[in-house]
Amino acid sequence: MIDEKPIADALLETNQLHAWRLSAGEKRIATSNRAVSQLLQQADEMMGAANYQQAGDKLERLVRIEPQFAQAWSRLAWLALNNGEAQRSQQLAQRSISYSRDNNELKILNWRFIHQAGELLGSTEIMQQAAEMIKILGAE
Amino acid sequence: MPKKAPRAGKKANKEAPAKRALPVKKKSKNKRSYLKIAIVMLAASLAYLAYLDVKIITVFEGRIWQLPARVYARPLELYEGMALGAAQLQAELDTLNYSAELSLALEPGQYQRNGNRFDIVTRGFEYWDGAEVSRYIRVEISAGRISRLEDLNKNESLALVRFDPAYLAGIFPAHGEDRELVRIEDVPEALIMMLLLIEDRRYYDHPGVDIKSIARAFVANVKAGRTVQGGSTITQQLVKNLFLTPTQSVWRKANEALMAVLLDAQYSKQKILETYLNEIYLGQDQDRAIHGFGLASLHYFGKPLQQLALDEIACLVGLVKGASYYNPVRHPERATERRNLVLAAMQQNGLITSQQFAQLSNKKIKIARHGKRERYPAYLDLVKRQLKDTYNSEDLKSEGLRIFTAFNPYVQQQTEKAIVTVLPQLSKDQRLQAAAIVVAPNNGEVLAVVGDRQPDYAGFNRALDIQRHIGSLIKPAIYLSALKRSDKYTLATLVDDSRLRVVGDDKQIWQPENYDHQYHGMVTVYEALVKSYNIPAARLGLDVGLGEISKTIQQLGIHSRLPPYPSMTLGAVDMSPFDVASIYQTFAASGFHSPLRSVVAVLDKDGRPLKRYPLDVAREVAPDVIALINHTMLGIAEEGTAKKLATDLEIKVAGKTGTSDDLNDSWFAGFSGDTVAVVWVGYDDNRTTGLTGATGALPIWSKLMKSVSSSSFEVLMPDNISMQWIDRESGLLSGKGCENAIELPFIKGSEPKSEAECTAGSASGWFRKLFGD
Repeated sequence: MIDEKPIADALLETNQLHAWRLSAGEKRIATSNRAVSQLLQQADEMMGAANYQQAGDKLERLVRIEPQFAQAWSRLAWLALNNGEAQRSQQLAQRSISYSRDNNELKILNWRFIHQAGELLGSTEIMQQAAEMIKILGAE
Repeated sequence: MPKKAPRAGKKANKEAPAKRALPVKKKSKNKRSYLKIAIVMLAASLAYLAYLDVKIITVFEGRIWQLPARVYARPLELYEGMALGAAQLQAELDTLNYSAELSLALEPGQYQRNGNRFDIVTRGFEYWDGAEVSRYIRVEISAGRISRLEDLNKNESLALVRFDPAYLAGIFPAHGEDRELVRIEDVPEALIMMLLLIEDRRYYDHPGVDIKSIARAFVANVKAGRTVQGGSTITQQLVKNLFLTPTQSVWRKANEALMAVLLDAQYSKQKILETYLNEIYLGQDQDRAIHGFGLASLHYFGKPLQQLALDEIACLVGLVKGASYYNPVRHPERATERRNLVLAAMQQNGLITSQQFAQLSNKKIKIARHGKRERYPAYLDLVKRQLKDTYNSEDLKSEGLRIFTAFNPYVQQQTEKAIVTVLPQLSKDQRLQAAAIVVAPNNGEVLAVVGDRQPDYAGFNRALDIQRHIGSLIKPAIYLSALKRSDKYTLATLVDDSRLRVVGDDKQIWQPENYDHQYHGMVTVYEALVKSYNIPAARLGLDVGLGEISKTIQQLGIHSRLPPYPSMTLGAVDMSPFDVASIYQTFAASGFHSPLRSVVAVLDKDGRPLKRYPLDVAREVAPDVIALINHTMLGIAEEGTAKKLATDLEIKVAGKTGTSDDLNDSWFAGFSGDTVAVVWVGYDDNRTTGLTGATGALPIWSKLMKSVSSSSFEVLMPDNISMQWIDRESGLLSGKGCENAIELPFIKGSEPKSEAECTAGSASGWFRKLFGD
């Protein structure tokens, strides 16, 4: 169940996330599937309106159509983080990374989610690993 | 009291003659006697009425059922580029009970097909994430894909269309009973109008018994000299069905009338009518009686009551007079005649026009092909179990739930078809059983379940409940455990395939053999798994440790502990097809395990989602090691024990055959890019089947995948994987074009360091350096 409010100040706010996405090369979204674009757009609108549960439903629908669509998994990771599900968020972000291919910006975004998940879990190991990956990918 | 009364009586008798007042006294005594009798009779009548009243309340209250939860399949979604053949779309529309029409003016739930072009009016539906409106669409299919999707009303291209979901069943998740009950507000008005018109026109005016109607029937019957008309009201009919025996007697008729009046006084007309609609006998389906219009609608027409056309409603109303005599399956002519009588009454009363009457009465009664005993019992069984496991039991008791599942009707039908077609080809023995489960790789959603060679049989659900040795299906987990130690094992590492003798702690000797009873010397890990050699698997398993294998299987999605015997390395481990699917889903999703789920969402009667558990994923095995195994499982389907698949299927698939000792169980588990499927074949009493995984389960799996999957499996290679050409025999580096060379994945840094000689002059070291790497 996804609550309506972010639980930690450290989280990326929706607007900030949106700005990040633009800089994170989302213009490179690799799909010619209009159904996927439409669902993604609807999910983003719902996230913008803080309607997180419905946004999650749209994204789950999207990954049924295109299971390896990295941007959708990344959004699901953010929604889980936003709902305080750190463990789940970390897994969803890992999944997004596994489909990100050469999209380093998207990988960095996912590692930031993992970093924050590590913070929520109180795991310095996860945080360190994430910080290291962000550094490596940023340098590439 | 009993002692006093006779004494008084005796005294009075003695005194009476002396006073000569006998006649008067006698009259008075008679009066008292009559009064007593009257009082006794009145008391008896009241007691009897009270008895009837209690009986009515007890039985009737028990008939005011809860509304069942409605279970739906996954909605069909269409978009341009989607892999979908015209035959599949046709099958989907059939499942949804969309009807093919010739007229140009289509209504929701109707379509026209012209070759590969479909014009469809979808039905609107309220989903948990928003409403889908009814649309008039055109779908064009070419080369097995949707090439065009258009909104014909708006004359514009559409990105995505979602249909209404197919209705599967009504269930009571709290206590597992299946009934198709309807609430009066959900019953089409036309049905109630027709029913009252034919059966009881003054229903809302009489007190349970209609004197006028009885008189009219009496006159008609006397004139005819036999019973031609009944005078029973709907209330009386209900009383007869609920409380009385079918015997014809004056006493029963009187009771019927009395109870009808009592029932009418106790309950509202609407409640009585609702109970009647759910109770009336409308036919027989083998040994099951069809009670109620809700079930009759599904049984005869394969769709819910709300979706019936006027002529279909008339047909059902016609059945009330005699469900056997007017049965539309066995006596279509009589049923048509009776239906038309109902329609004629509608017309005479101005409820339909003469034009409508002419059109409707000319229609042929179309009985649903799928109107059979129970559809998809194995899948519904899974839904019921998972509802109990994942949802709050109090929530499930609330009325009118709507349960949305991942059930894919097309995949289910094709899975059933594969089993029903192939199993008789494997053996003439009707006792040979099969089970199958089909899952979406990337989210663990269960698309189809078959639990019996007769898929409609709602008995033992083998897909969930058998616990059988999985044989070589365990091998990918054994090799995975070994490959996790990339410093020691790679796909090119040589393993010894020679005699192996293990003495257990209990001094028992275990001596595994290969299926072909041969030893193959030193073989690479890749070769050993592709050819499913037993001895290398056992040796490797014992080397990495049974505890480590057990841990790997848990990481792949099985949470029960496995017995740590050496024979577990060859699959002497009991699992169900569901368990196996759970493991192979993890491989198919590159190591991300999602718990297998059939229920996607549950809404309460107001359309609000119950607390639910969204898509879950967990990865506990590193993606690089999974990639090595998945690459090898592709090899199994290309050149190994399942190489038949390379010629059977146009797409690339990965998988593993499994055969238990003495050929008792035949398994195949595998996946394509969009489907994971597990098939088991065996006997319930565990006797030998004479079949291996390749000769039993594999042909079923192959047929199933051929019809449902269109996407090749591709190994997701993480960044730290490098591909190298390897000599198959020595496991050393080779080159493209060298004899016996094969390209294999390695975790970077674990590649062989030495080079094999490149024979046959096809390539040499310098050639390899130029072109091979």
